[in-house]
Amino acid sequence: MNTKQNGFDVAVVGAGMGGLCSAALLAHYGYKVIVVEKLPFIGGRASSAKYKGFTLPTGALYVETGGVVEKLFQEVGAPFPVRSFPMQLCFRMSGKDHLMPLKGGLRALMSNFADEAEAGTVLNAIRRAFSWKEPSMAISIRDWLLQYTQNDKLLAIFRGLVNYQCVNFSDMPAGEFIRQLRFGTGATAGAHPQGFLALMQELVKVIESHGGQVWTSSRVKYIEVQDESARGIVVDQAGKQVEISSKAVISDAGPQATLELAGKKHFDKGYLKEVGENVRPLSYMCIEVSSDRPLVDFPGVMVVPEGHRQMTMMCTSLAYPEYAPPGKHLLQAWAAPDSSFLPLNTKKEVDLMVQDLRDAIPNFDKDAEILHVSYWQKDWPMYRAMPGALTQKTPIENLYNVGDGVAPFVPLGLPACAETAQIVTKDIKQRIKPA
Amino acid sequence: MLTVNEDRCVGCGLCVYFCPRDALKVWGACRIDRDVCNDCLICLDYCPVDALGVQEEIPA
Repeated sequence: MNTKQNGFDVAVVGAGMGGLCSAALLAHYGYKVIVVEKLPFIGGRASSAKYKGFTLPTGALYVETGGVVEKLFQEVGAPFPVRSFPMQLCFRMSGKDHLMPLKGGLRALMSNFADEAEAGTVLNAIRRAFSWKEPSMAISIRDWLLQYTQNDKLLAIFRGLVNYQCVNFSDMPAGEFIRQLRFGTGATAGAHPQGFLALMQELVKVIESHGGQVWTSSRVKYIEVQDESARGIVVDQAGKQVEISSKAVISDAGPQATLELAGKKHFDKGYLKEVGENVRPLSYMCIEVSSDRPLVDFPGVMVVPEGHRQMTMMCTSLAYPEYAPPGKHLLQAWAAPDSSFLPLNTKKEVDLMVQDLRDAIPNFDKDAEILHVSYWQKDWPMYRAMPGALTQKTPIENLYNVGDGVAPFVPLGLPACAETAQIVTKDIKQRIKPA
Repeated sequence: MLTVNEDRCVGCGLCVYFCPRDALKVWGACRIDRDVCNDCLICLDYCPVDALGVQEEIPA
């Protein structure tokens, strides 16, 4: 027996970054919203959990401050208690640590491994790419750089920088990397002292304060489509089926899931082809390590670009002592696997990353305890697609996608998710008046 | 009995966070420690890709 819920303007599928940002914006602007999340917690891959006294991520490690995400929180009147950490990078190469200055960092770093002429060739190419024409998307940044240098150390520096965008060096399109280098994540980033779950809870508070609802442990069974238009959702809530009618549906479940939920037969063939070809999920790994003393005595991000896997690490507890129990430290290491897109032997990828940790950190086996290993891929990926893969509007009227599957051509990750929420909210405001 | 569908498991490790007995180990993929797991099945709710399931126990 179904129960019906009426009176909602917008139904949101999934309480990830895109879903919660959309719902908070719409609630703020007077729309009656409901967010339905299948997992028992909100935030999706922008959340956190307490494990053995440590605060560990489900996905995102940091969020930029002063950018799209913070502005969205401000717009909806939500606190944004994100504490920044020094953004200065340090490169650990051939057993030495090279600090990358905040200004002219690339030139300074490269000067450790190449003379002016050699570094200049690469820097000039980048300068031309900034000022004249972005490099092609048809070539990887690695192959693009190989046109200008064969110097292993210089290439390693870029391999390390690419890891900041969570894409494999050989898979990152040259144009995309240069664009990120030029316009990408802001100068400062940080985290909520109680973890991402606490940050996302601020958006839930906004939604609920305007009379909206957020349901967890509730699975959307399908999106109701009639006359090529979205009419609502049907939800399985604790074994009961609930029909929720709405004027618009926003899906944060990912473009492929949206197809399944609404029924592929409702989508035109061109769109189905686009989703199939363009929405390719990216893989990534993270290893969390506990220790009694800081394993890396540097308060920022340490790039380790010459190992088996392009790895970056941070002794997170130095900037966020709240993330570890008293007397313990937390090191987080993250790396792209050998391919961002191909299915790989995940155990082998993790084994190689652990080997990199052993090589990069003296006495690792003695001093470190591996707490947790995460591998993101397929339906729980690092990113559901590269930016620009798909637009937010679907062919079904009033059915939108948000989140990293439909990221626009701007900052990767969380800012892109927030941006999709802004784009969709703006469109809804033009088309639909709140009840 | 709790089972892992190895084709579906992506190795995200969310189940590890939420197992009340710390019976799961994820190293690219999820493995159940049968000596510790008591089939409470709480982890089923936390798997984002529906890789955890239940199978009838085959009598010894």
